[in-house]
Amino acid sequence: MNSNFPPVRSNILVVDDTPANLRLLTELLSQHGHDVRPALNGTLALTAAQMMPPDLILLDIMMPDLDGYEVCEQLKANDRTRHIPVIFISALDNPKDKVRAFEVGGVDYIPKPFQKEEILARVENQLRLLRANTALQESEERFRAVFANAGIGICILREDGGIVETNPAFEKFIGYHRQELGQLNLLDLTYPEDGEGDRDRFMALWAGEGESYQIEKRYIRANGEIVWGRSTTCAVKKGGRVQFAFGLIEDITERQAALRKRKEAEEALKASEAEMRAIFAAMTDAVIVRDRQGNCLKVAPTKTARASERPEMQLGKTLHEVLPQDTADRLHHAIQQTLEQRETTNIEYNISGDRGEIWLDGRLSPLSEDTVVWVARDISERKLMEQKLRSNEAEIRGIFEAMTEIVLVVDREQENIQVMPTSYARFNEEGNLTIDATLDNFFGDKPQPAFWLAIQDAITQQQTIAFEYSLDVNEKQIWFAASISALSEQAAIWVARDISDRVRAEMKLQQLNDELEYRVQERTQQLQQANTTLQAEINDRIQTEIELAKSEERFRLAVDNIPDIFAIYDRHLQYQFANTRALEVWQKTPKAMLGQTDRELFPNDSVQTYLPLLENAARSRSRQTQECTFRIANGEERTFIMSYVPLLDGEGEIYQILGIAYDISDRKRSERALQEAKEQLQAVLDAVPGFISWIGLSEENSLQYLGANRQLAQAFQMSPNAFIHKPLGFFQQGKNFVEFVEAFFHSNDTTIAQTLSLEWERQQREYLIVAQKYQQERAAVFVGIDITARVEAQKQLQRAYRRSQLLSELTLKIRQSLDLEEILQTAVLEVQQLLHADRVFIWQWQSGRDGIARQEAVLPGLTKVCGLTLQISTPETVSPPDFQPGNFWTIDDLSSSPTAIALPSELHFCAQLVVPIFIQEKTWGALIVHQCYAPHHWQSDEIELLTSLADQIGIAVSQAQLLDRLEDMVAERTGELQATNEQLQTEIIERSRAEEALRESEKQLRRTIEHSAYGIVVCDRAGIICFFNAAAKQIFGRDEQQLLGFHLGMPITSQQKCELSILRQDGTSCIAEMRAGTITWEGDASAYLISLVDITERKAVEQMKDEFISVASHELRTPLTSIRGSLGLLATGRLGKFEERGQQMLDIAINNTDRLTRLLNDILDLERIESGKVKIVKQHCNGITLMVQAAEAMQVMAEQAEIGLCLKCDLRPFWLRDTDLEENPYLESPPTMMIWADPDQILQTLTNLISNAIKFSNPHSMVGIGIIPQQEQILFEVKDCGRGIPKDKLESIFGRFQQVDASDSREKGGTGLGLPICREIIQRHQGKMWVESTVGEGSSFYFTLPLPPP
Amino acid sequence: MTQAKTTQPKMTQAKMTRKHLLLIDCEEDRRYVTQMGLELMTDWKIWVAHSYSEGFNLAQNQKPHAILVNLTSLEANPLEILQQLLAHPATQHIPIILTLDRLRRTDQQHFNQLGVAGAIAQPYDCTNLGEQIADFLNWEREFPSSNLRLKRG
Repeated sequence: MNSNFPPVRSNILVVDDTPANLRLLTELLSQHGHDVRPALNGTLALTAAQMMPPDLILLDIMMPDLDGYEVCEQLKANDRTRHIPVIFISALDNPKDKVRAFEVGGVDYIPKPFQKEEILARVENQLRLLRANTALQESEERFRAVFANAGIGICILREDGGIVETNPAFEKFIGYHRQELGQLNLLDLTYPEDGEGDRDRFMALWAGEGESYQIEKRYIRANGEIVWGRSTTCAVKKGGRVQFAFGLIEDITERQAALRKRKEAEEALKASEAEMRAIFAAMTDAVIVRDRQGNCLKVAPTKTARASERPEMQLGKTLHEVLPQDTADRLHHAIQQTLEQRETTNIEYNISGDRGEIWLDGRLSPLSEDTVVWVARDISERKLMEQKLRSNEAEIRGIFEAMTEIVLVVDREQENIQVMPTSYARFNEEGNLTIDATLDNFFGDKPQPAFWLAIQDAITQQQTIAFEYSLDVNEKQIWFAASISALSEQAAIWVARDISDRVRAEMKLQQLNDELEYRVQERTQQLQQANTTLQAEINDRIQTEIELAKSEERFRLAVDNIPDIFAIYDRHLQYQFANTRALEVWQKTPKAMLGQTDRELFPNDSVQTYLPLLENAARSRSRQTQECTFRIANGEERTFIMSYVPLLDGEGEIYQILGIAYDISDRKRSERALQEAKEQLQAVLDAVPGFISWIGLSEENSLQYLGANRQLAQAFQMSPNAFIHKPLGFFQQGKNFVEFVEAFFHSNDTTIAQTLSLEWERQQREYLIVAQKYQQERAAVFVGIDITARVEAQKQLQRAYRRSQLLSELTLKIRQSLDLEEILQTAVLEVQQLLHADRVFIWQWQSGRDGIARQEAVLPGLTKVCGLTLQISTPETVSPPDFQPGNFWTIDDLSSSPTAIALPSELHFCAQLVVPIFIQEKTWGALIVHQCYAPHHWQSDEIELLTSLADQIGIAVSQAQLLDRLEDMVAERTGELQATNEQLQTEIIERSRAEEALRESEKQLRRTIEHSAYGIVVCDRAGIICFFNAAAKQIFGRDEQQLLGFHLGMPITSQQKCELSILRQDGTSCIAEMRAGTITWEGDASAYLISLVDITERKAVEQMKDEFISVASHELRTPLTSIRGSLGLLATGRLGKFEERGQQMLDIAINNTDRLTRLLNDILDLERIESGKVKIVKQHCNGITLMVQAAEAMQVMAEQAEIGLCLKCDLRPFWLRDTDLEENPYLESPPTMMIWADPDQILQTLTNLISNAIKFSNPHSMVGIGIIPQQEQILFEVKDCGRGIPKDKLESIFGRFQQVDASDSREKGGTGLGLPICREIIQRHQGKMWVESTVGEGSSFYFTLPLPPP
Repeated sequence: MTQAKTTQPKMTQAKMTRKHLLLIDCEEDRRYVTQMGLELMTDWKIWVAHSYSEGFNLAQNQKPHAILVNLTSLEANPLEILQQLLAHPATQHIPIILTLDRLRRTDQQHFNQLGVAGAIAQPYDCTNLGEQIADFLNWEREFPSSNLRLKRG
């Protein structure tokens, strides 16, 4: 194994058809760390190589099918396998074969039999070769990659400069394709001007001079553009000979551009320099460049330079040459400093020029290592100013020095205090100490706020503040007066002057003062002693004064305590004094009042009431008094009597006015209360319904009125005041009263109550007089109450009592007798006596208004009426039969009576009373009372008495009459009873007979019922069966025990026929038709009689019939369709023409077929409707819509018959849409008239009726179709103007096949079933259908339909 | 429903197709008369079925433009054929016209709901049966022999 290569596993494909060989080779190579893939033949080998190309193939030549050569050829023919080295292994050891092996591309040839070692060595050799090859290839690839990807353009050149190869960077740089470049010479691509040098140097390089050269030159790109490139051309030598050269070309176009830019910048710089020059020209400063030694190297062309010839600006001269020594030294030093520190240095210096000394401000900046720029500005003016300022300061300093005060400058922030250099210290030995002490107060351990405050004030107010303070210096107190002024916004000047001397002087003064005081005190004491003695002397005097004062005090007390308001005004009407009461009233303090006027003190409305009085008093200087009412302080209104008394001095002038106000409010109030009480009393007295008067003894002892109440006064039409002081009896009140009063006054009684009868308006009236004495019995009050009515009532009561007494006596008398005449006689006599009547009679009614006077009691001399026939004198409207109990008629005075009362002319009277007499509420007569001499007012008790009496008379008369008639009546009654008895007897016999018949009849009836074919059942209201017959038993299929007393078990509907199916006990069933009606059964009026018919068979037959009709109708219809169809087709003539008669026959056949069809349809319809097969589906539908639809359906038929259809809605006509009328009164939206019906069937009914109407109408007439809403239904009408229907047919036309005229069915094409169908339909809608008709005029068919349910 | 076909312009319609009508009727005479009537009065091709089953087969195979079915047969269940025709995909789009014993308005509504184009009560008039059918189907009707024009609408 070769150790040069690391043991790399190689992939080796071994191909051999001999398995032993194959295995051997495989094992051998595997042992040496190779991946070996064996292949048994050439085809497999090719496939394996194709699948995964091996590193090496060991290939046997001799193989069946595909030998090694062919395999190798195929491998080499394929790109994928071409590079794989193939080692042939073969037993053929012929040179020809070996040549063949190499020809086909083998790399080695190993003859068989082979040695293992040989195999391995050859294989390893091949593999090594393969690896070296691969490494080389990789290296080349790397270089090529570098070449291809280098950013720098590379080209390989021939000796003549022809381009051999280029890389993409170069291609990109030069803009030619690789292929184009192969034809070009690099020198041709060089810009002609730059070409020559390059060519020479290139030639030299080839000649062997040097290794490389570099040149910057321009190239011409393919597109003609010129680019800059830096070309480095290198020669590659081998054995001293140049093999080839390569050029590295770098694109420096951009760098060239940068260079150009730099040039431009330089130019700009130059321009800028020019600008600078211009600027310099405008500058006033001197700008000089000096070197280290101070040589003037350059002077900038500034204004100064041009304008003046300044020594320092002389070119080439050093400073020392042009300036004085010291200035020059300074400036030189500045230059040195500037250069060393490389910083700008400022220096001020002066030079003497033509125009005197000039101050300059020099500004030195380092320009280079050894030069500086020197900018000098003329600052002479400023300098001058400064000098002046400096002299000013000196002045101030002088001032300060002249000052002996302490001067401080204090800033506001309390930071800085400047002590001004005054000569204070110079004059004071302890000056500095003092200043320190002052400063201590500002900044010491205990700073004094007062100091700062003073400064603050001075600054903020910008005013001078004076401030005194003391300092303790060396145990000496020094006083200062400081004057602080604001210096600026921030600082103040503090000028403190030593005022210790002044202060000291003041203190001394104080001391003196104290001394004086002491002496004064001493003196005072002496004086006081003297005084005391003096005091004693004047004590007496004082005593007198006190007395005086006391007196005044008393006065004041007196004034204060009087309840009146008391005030003293001065002459200006201002209060001088006010007493307590006044203060109280006004609620003021004396202080508040004194010296003020009323107007100032009190509200205006109060003041106004009394002030005029005061003013009046002042003006007139006389006392003024008046009552004033005003509101006082507490809001109370009070009344005062105000008096103002002016007090005049000796000269008659006012010096004071006394004001006194006497409060009379309470008095006023009580006066008012008294007045009110009086009025109240008066009102009470006035209200008393009696006469009240006060009478008293006058001074002359005569009686006189003191007063009277309104009642009394008004009764005599006088005012109550008119009575006062009038003598008793001054008006005509009657002697009785005067006497009564006089007697009362004479008596000792203090009270009295007595009834007096006094004449009053010519009427005697009764009064109850009550009197009471007062004022020591010198006066008395008299109250008179009218009791006339009461007295009268008592009297009447007495009279009534007496009369009732009489009545009972009279009644007794009347009752005691049964003789009528006697009774009547008694009655009239008693009445005459009782009533003091002039005439009393009893009148018995006969007829009309006539009657006879039966009895009378009359005063002698008057006309007698007894036995006479008289007319009753009652109002004409009331005749005797109409008299009612309680009636009576009175005439008080005939002469003034209405004439309406009929009077018997022969009778004279003045007053009359008529009371009717009844017997059993029937008028019998009347009791009549007359007063013949004077009118008489009939009192109610009189009338009552008489009425009662009349009743009694009535009773008595009837009793008497009864007695008279009793026997007659008994006889009559007996007769009557006998007759009745006989009649009854007869009746009983008849009844018995009838009963017999009835029984017989019932028996028969029962038999009939029992044997009736109808089942008869009677049940009570609850349905319990009471009776049944045999037929019923059969229908029910039950016997007696199972029926009687059982419940019928089915609903009973009275008067209605209904069908029911009954299930019998044996399981059979039957259908029964039931009718029920109420009967009275054995007393029960609400029992039901039920009749039952077994209709089972009938039903079966009916059903059969229905089915038959249904089937028949269908069965008939089918041939009919064929017949109709055939006939129709024949009639078209397409199947051959008929002669005229044949055509006629055909028409007949068609007509009859059609009729037959209609008949069939109708029969089927009727059957279906009747049998209920057609369900009536009721719904809400609009009757008008149905009507319109029906009319539209019949329109064609109507037109053919030349008949108009007229629709009417609630009697208003409207037309169909199609009707050709110019004015179309068709209702755009006919109103809705909802009905509850099956619209289909109603439509059928309507069309049927309309169709009938058209059929029976004459041409050019109208058929009216109307709809009329009614109370609980809708009425439809179809009206024609046809021939009409006879009365006897009005009902029968609704029967089946019942036409008015038998010929109609043929002529009109009707089936005779239309109307029955219609009626059936309507009846099933709970409606009714009928016809009204007049023969010759037309018919109207009506039907009704119910309204929809709510 | 009734408007199963839209009306084409007259000329093209007339030239393009001749209408095919399938007549299903179990009663022989009636069927013959009906067929003859339709053939005489229209230019349609009439297919004839003698029974409902035959009719159903013919309807599926011939795809007529319309089917006229008589529903009055008592032997077979007439409604069955109707349901078959209406349900089968091959026939359900073909308009159907029925002939019935008696036609009421409610019946007509009922059939319309089922999807029947029209219904005619028998006995019908063979001479204008074609016109009635055309009317139901909105077919162009030009029957020179008939001067009776029904008003519709």
